[in-house]
Order: sequence, then structure tokens, then C-alpha cells
Amino acid sequence: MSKRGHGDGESALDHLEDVTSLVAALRSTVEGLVASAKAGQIVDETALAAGSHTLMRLRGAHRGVMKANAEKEAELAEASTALDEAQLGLESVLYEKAVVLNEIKRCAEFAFAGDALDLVPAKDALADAAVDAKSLSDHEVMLARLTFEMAQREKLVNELHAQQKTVEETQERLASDSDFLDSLHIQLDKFLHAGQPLVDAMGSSLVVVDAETRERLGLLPSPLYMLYTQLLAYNGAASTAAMALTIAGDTAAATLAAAKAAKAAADLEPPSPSAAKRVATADDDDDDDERADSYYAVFPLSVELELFPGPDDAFDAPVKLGFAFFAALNLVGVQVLDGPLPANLLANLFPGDAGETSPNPANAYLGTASGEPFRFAPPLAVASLKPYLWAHSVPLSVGVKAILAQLRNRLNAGRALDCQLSELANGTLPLAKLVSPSFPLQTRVSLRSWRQLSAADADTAIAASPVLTAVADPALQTDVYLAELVRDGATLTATVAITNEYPARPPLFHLELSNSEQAGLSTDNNVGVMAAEVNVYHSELPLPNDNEVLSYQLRKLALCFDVYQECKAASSSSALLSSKLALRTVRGRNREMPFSFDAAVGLFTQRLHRALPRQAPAAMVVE
Amino acid sequence: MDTYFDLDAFRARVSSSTAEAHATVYGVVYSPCGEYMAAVDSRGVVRVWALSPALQGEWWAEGEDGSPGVPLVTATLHRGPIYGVELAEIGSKVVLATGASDGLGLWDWAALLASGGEATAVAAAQLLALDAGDVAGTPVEVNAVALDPASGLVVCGTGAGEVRAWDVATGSHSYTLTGHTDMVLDVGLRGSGSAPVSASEDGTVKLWDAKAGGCSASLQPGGGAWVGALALDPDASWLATGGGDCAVSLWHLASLTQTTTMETKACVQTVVFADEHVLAGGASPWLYRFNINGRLAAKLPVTRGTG
Repeated sequence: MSKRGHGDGESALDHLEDVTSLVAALRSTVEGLVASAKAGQIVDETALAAGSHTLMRLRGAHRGVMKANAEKEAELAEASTALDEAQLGLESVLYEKAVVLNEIKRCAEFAFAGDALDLVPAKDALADAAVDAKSLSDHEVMLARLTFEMAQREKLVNELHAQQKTVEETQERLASDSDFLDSLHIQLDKFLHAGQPLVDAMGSSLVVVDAETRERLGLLPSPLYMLYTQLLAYNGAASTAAMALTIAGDTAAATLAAAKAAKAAADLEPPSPSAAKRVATADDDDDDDERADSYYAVFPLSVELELFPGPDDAFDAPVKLGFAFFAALNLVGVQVLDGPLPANLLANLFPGDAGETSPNPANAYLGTASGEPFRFAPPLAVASLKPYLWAHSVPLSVGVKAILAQLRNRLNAGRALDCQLSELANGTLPLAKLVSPSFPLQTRVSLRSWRQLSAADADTAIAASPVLTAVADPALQTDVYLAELVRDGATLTATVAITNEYPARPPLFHLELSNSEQAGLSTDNNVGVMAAEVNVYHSELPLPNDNEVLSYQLRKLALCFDVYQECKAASSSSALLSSKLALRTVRGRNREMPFSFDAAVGLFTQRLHRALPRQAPAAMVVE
Repeated sequence: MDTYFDLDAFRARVSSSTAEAHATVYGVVYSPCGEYMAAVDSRGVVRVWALSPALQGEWWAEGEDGSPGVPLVTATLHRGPIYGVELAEIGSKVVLATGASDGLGLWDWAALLASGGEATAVAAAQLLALDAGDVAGTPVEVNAVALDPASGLVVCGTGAGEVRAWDVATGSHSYTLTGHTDMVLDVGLRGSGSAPVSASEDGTVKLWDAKAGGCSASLQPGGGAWVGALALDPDASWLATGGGDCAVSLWHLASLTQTTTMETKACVQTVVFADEHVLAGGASPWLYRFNINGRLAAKLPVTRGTG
């Protein structure tokens, strides 16, 4: 009897009972045969055949068992593979679970670091997107800020790359220029030799430098070299240049510095500030501010320019300027070495050029970063003379001519202003040389006092005047003076602001009138009109010399004050008309007095409209 | 050529700063509808404000565009100071009359309001520009204007010492009254456009009869000092004047009698009747309020030079 297993095939157990019964039958048969043999009995063939038959069946059973066993083993192997796969899947799930749990834990413990970042405000980040920040969640706002920040940084990186490329190109160009300049003197020598017979024949002289100067010239850094050659060329070309050029300084130190600079250039290492200091100030033991010193270290040689007064100049003593090269900054600075000059000669020589910052964008930050102004010049003459541009961009003759003309204008103006201020300090109203002979020069107004205000008082005075406050330029150096004009018991106090751009920027006046009787007769309107006459309309009569504009303004102010007092005292217009001063003493409900001088009729009149003078004097324009 | 310093721009800044620092308001008027106030100043500018925010206490809300303190219209009407201003309904239009350093102007008030101050629209709002004559070849200023809705006349006092009148509708000249020996500083109307009153630099106040073509009376309130301001009470029975004599004079017109003199310690440049009081302002930083009997009722501190 057989039993079916769980699988589709027969199992070994299904054959177990058959095998057991067959073994038992076979044993019984064998025992019967053994017993017969022991008894000497004849072999029972039937029993033997039955035993053989039983043995055959047993073999069949054995094959069945083996077959079932093989099937089970195959089935088991198949099940084992599935089990292994399932186990592997479960282990993967367990790993993922651990990872997810870890992530969840990290999320739970996450602290947002964005708040610590110095990001742009949300308002700025969303400005271009035209999205209201209130409509976004905090997360979206932060994403917008981060995106904006990222875009900005990418932009900066791109700019950095562009700048680096520009630097490389500039360095290549500089190297090329330097090579050219190095070879230039050889060619110039050839020209000089070739032209010498012609010079001898014509009896004139070319600009020739001596051997020592030539040696020093060869040591000059490129910007100083360009500066020197431009000035030299201009001096030789312009018969009225009236100037002298020298190269001053320690030639030995310059040789050493040039050699080290050349070595650094050959090693492709830009000269570091410290290296520049070692080169330029080898014997300087003052290391209190090593970093600042290194930035401001100058090349041992400098170019000195001495300007002599020409026949048309007002300044009467030579002026010497020194140009030095800041190796670490790659800038040329200038300072006044000698001469009867105002301290602010070089400041604001050109617009926006106060000399307090570097024109070189690469080190413009130094002016503020070091906490002190550039120490060479008022201050960096870089600023005052734009040598950086001069050396690289400005056409030779035009640049030199314009700069020197501006310097001479400044010197002449400074000298003229000094003379006028000196007269004023002595209590005299300076008399301007006027073109129009009809302009009345006689005045009964006297100058009671003229004094310069301290810096603190000047600031206070400017703040007290709406006009001075509105027009004053804080970037300019401004001196403020207080003048008191008196006549017939009335005092006209003028606060006069004079900048170092005098006379291009004319002095500004703020007026105050004090008069014990004023309250009964007039209002402030006339003071305002007087101020406008002096500040705005002072140039209606052309001056032969614009440097005397202060004198003219003061003269006009005195005449306005005269008119004011005359009109105040006049019983009627006819009185003034008979005195040939004015047609009408007052005009309009504001009872405006006649402060405007009509040269055509030689009388003072009221200005009908406040139109501005149309044409600026030629002196206000620089070629 | 490289212009180093822009002198013209510098002068423009100085000029505008000076004009602003010494700016003076010469006149204030209210629209007939009561909704607007206009002020003219020494820069030739008129500014118009809506009055409703002021009545709601928001007038001095300083600030940005749209706040009540910002004028609805800011328009330059003349090239010089505007000395006199008047606003009245003439015919079908509300007309703004301005007397200025460069002459007399008549403006369509509705168009001016709608212009928003835009220059072209402001120019289009001008109804008439009238010539006030000249002195020695120089155009005279118009120091004061008065509008008479009944007769449709605009009357002005000129720097030539004349009182002139024009028909607003046609622009035709109506009359010129002469007699002052110096400029006329203020004018008023006694009931109609043909009966003006003028105050002058020559120290007199003249009552005119235009129909008769002459001066009916001449008063000298300040002892010869210039007379810069006059005011008539609503019945045209009383006349208040002020000027260089540093006083306000009150006159009874029917009898041509000076009844009271009220001292102000400073020259007077504006007088106004207000109920039973006379208000006066001028060179001193005070606004005076007198009773009709000449007693000082109040002295209010104001900005300097209320004239």
C-alpha cells in the first residue's frame, strides 16, 4: 500500500512500507531456504523463485525510492533558491528601513543654516521677479534668495574670469611695450647721431640728455619713463614751456630695484608689496606699519618738474613738482616740492579728483582700507594728474599741454586770490580791472572786517545758509570767510565760500543785513536779490582776468549795498534819477530795488526776469 | 574742447536755491466752489491745493506724492514774481487773474486744474495775456488785480501808476485811470468794476469813478509813506490801508474820514477785513488782529514777512 506525498511525484515514504514488507518477505524466504539447506533438504525452487521475485520487487522499490528522493532534492533545491531570494529581499528592506530611519532622524535633527548666511534681503532677491514676498512661503522665499545669490556669484565668477583674462592680456601688452621701450633708446641714439649734422648746420639744438640722465632714464619704471619723455618732448616742442626736468634720487638703489624687478618679472611673479618694500626701502628700519609702508614704498628715482613763471603768469616764483612711482600700486604720484603755493594746489585739478583715492581700480580700496589717505601727494597725484591714464591713454601733446595749462591756471589763480585776500585782510576792497568804463567804481561802502573762519565755524556757516548748503560740494576743499560791509549805520554781513576750484567755480556769497531801521522800511527780498546779483549775475560784464572774480563780486556787492542804502534814503525815484543812479527806486509789491547795472544807459535797474546769463566766460573752459 | 566745469549748471543751481530761500507768497485765493485754494509766489508759480483734506485735519500730513500737503497743480505762469491774484466766476467760466512782474494774465481755472501743471496744457489754459504798458521802454509790472463778476471787468494796478481795466470776455481795453505819481501797489473795488480804489507808492489812496473818468477822492493815510495794501469791508463802507508808515488806517468812506490808526511797528503789506476785525501782516513776524475800534485784539506769531 502506498501513500501520496505533498508533491506531484511519489515520495520516498510512499515506498517505505513496500520496502519493509518486501524486506520482511525476502528475509522469510531466505531464512526458509537457509533452514532447508541446513537440514539438507532439496532447495525449494518455488521458494527460490519467490525470493528472486521478491528481490526484484525490492530493487524496483529501491529505484522508486531513489527516484522520489532525487525529485525531492530537486524540489528542495528550487525551494531553497526562492528562500534565499526572499531572505535577500528582506535584508534589503531592512537596510533601506535603517537608511530611511537615519534620514528621518537627521531631518528631525536638521538645523537650517541659511539664516547664518549673509544673503541678500528677500526684497532685493524678489525685485526682478515682480513677486510679492508675502505670497510666498518662507521656504520659497529662501529658495529665491539662494537662487539670486547663486546667480550673483556666478556673475561675479564670470567677471573674475574676464578680469583675469584682461590682466593676462594687459601683462602681455606691457611686456611687449616694455621690450619696445627697451629698444627705443638705441633707435633714438641712431636718430640723434644721424640728425646731428643737420642740427649743426641749422644752428639749433635738439633736446639732448647727458650721460647721467640717460643712465637714470634707463632705470625708470615704464610710467615714469613715459612721463619724462612726454614732458621732455613738450618742453622741446613748445617754445613757451618755461620748465625744467630732472631725474632725482639714488641711482645705485634704483639699479638694484630695477634688477630685482626684472628678475621678478622674469620669474613671472608679480612684485608683492613686501618685495617692493625690500627693493625700495632696503635701509628703512621703521616697521611700525609694515603693510602700509610696503604699499606706499616708492621707486628710488623720481621725476622733478620745475615750472617757471612766464611773461603772462601771475605767480612769480618757480614751482617744483616731484613725480614718484608706487611700485606695489603701479601708480605715479605727485607732490609739490617747492614753491609759494597753496596747500591744495593739486587737489581737484580735474573734476572729481580730490587725490584721496587711487585711479587704479585694482587698488582703489586702499585709500579707505588702510584708514589713512595716500601719503604721497595731496595725496595720490595719480589723482591729480591722472598719470595712469597719462602714461597709457592720453595723447602725448594734448595730455601734457592740457595738464600743464591747468596747473599754470591754478597757480595764477592761487596767486591772484592770495593777493586779493591779502588786500581784504588789510581792510581794503580790491579794485577789479573792469572792461566797461561805465561801471561805477566809487562806493561809499567800507570793509569793516574780513577774516577766515575756522573749519568748525565754516561748517556751521555753510549749514546756516540754504544756498551754500544746496550748492556746496563736500568733495572740494572750501575756505569760508566772513566779510562785514558797513554804510550809514547798516551792516551787510557776507559769508563767502571759496573753493580750490577758484575761479572756475566762483565764490559763493550768503548775505545778512542788520539795520536798526530795517524793519520799518524793507523786507528780506532785497537781500536775496543782492545775493543773486553777486552769485549768479556777476559775470555780465566780462573781466579781463577771471582770476579777479572775487574782487568783482565784492565790488558789485558794495555797489548793491550802496544802491540799497541810496534807495532807502531817497524820498522818491526822481531823486535817484537826478543823481543818475536809477530810474525807479522800487519795483513791484516786493519793492525790489535796482541792483542790476545797465551798462547801455549807465543806470541801475530792476532785473525783469531771472534768466541766467547765456554764455560762460572762455576761461571756464579747458582745452 | 573738454568742458571742465559747467558754470551754467552751477549758476542755475545757485539761482534756484536763492529763489527758493527767498521765496515769498504774494497772494492766496479760494475757488468759488470752495474746494480749492491757490497761492502765487515770487517765482511766478501758482500752486493749487484741495481744501477737503485740510478741513479733515490732514493738511499738514507731510510727505509723499498723494498726501494732502502736496499741491494738485504746480504751474509756472509768469517769468517773474506774481504780485496779485484773483479768482472769480465771469460768465460761464471761472477765471484766474494774475498780475505779475511781466504783465497781466487771465487763465481758465478749470483748464488749469485739469492741466496738472504740464507746461503745454498750462499754456493752453491761458485766456489772455494783456499788456500793461511800459515805463521808459520797460514793461511795467502789475502789482494788483481785481475781478468784477457783474461787469466782467478785470482791474489792475500797474507799476506805471495807472489803474487799468479790460473786459475779460473780449480782452478789449475798458479804461485807464491816471493820477498817481508812482506805482500802484494794490487795488480794490467799491461795489463795481467802475469804482476802483487804488493804493500807491506815492503815499495816497485814490477812489476812482471810471464812468466820470477821474479821481473822486484822494486820501493820504500814512503821512506820505507808501501805501502797500488796502481792504474794503463787504459793504464797501469802510476802508483799511497799510504801508510804510507801519500802521493800519481805518477810513469811513461815506465821510472820507480816518477814524482809527492801528500801529504795527513794521511796514504793512497786507490787510484783510474779517468779520468785525482787521487783520494785518507785513515785514514783522506777527499777524495783527485789531478790533474795528482800533484796539489790538491779538498778535499771532507767524513766519517772517507775512506780506
